[in-house]
Amino acid sequence: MNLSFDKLTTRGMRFVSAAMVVTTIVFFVATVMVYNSTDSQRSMLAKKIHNSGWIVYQAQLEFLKATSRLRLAAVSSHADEFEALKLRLELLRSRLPILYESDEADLLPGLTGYKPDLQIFEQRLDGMIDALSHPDLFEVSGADVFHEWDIELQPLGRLLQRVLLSSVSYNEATAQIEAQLDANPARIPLLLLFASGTILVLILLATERRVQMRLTQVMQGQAALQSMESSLLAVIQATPACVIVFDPASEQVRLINPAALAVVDAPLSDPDWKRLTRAAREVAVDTNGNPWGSITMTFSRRQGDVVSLRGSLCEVLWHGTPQALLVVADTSRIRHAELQVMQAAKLASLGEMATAIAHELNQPLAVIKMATANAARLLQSGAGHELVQAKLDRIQGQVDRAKRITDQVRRYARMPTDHSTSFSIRAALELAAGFVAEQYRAAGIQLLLRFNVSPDVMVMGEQIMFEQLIVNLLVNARDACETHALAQGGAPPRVLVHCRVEGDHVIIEVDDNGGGIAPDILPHLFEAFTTTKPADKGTGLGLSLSRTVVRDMGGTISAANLAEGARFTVDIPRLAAPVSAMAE
Amino acid sequence: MTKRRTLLICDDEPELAEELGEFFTATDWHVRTCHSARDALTVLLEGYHPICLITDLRVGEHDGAELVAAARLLPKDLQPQVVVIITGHIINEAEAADFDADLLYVKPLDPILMVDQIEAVLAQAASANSL
Repeated sequence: MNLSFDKLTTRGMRFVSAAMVVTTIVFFVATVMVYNSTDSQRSMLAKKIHNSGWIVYQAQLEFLKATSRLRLAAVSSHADEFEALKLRLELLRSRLPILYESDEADLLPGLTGYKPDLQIFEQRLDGMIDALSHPDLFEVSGADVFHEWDIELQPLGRLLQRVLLSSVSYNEATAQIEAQLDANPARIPLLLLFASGTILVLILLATERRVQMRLTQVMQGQAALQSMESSLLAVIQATPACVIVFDPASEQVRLINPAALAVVDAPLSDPDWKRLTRAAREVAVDTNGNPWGSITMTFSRRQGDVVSLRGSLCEVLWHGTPQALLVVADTSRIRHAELQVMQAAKLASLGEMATAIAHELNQPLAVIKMATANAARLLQSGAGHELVQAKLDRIQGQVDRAKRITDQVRRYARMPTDHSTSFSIRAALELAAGFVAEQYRAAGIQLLLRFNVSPDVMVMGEQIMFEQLIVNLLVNARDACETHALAQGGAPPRVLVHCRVEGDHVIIEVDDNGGGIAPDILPHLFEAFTTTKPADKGTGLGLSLSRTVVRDMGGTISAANLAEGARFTVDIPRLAAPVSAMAE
Repeated sequence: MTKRRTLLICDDEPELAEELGEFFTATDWHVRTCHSARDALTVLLEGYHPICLITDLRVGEHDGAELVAAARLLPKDLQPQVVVIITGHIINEAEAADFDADLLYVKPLDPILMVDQIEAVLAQAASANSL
């Protein structure tokens, strides 16, 4: 369809260009014709001007003839003379109206202004001609009459002389203009006109060519865009990551790829798609309220199993409309492997702590053993009921104490889940520190806890994993202190855990005076299989997994050397306090 | 004349120290208890010289072995005749001699057995003195 449209557009452009060229040629020919017509009219006008001079000259000539005949008649009273005079006067009379009534006379400047005077002379000539129709009247005093007539007509002679002079000067000016026009033939403007027309046509052709080229470029761009869109769609369809485009307002899914279909395994009309996109949007909302960001989430499929998804949610323009783009990878297997490694690392550290746990458990058992022995002795000696009851209460208290220890071990050994929940950062730190406290006591390492956070400061994540992260850092610090103390002696080993809130983040620092980290290891510290411990003591995965845990919580972990040891800093976003809590 | 049976117990677990003291008291011992090695050292320096010293291996910030060493530095006739180490740690191959002690018990211990063995050591020491 687009191709047909493009063809139509091209044809239309060509038709318009051709029409413009034809129109230009028509205008050019018409201009030449108009020019020729004007030139012809100009020539005719010049001829009329020349003729107008001739008319005045004829009138002047007739005046001279008439006055000559009048003077001749004054000295000769012959009848033939009268007739000749009458003829001359009639000829003169006939010339005068021509001066102001003919087309040629209209061209002479100021001639119409002489009309009243000429008409007076016409009347006078009419009178003279009438008088000559009766020759008997001139028998006695004809000479005197003709002499008087001669005197009367002299002003006419002067008038005609003035008209003739002005006609001559006008004709001279006209002749000069004609000479100039002849010196500059009309070909030059015609050539200029032709040149301008040609340039105009060339400009039109160049414009048409440029438009054509631009149209070609646009069409090539459109074709490239379509090709790119096709390629992009092919990539989206082929990528193993789940790609979902949906409308954030209506939650309607616009596009999915086979990987997404494999995860959800339901038609687009199924509510599971909305459930997935809604869950992704809820997870993507960070502590700043920003609706776009990285995602680590699980999705319960209708088959009953749970898949782990990791990716991001962002805003895109899809066919000109703002839409949400969800790109997630099914990390179930990786996540499962991570959890397994995490569990293995936990169990490994649990094994390392077995001695300390046994010692801790032996304390209440020892009290129970002694209290039982004393209770038995009291019963044998017949002591009072109250004394025996006190022993039983003590035994009960120590059993509870032992249970707390085993609960702690069981909690620590529990397989981590993939579900993020909100939890109190202080409670998690206290649990982690409590778990290693006995080890520290046994190793003679001072463990200082400085928690400058209230119990209602919450963070989002998997609490067991977070506790494991802190335990990892504390075990590493303990090992560093023990190794350093054996090698160096000196200051008593000490580890400080400092937790504080900075803005919308929670900062946890674990400082030790165990000598620090070798500079060549520091840049690779959080890479897998990096360790400074003996092969039988560390897997080299603890810090790598710690980084994964912190990253999943939307935070960062870093390490640096201090004067006497090392500092590990965990920076994680704090969950916004509930409105009620903030009000308090 | 039988020497008065005096006992100094040092354990940072107050309830254990109390129960242990009560058990020995019931068997005609004079018992004093401390919850740190520092307190126990003070008691010794103040002139209380028990014939038996029972101490945890790790009591507070100090090592129980340090208390034993301090007791061993007392004049011969003022030193405890029996030194007992009790510990909650798993120390499989450790022997009492490793800590310069006469007896070593891992918690939870059997108090009857411990009393019998202390009595046996004291009797052995008495017979050795009589010779």
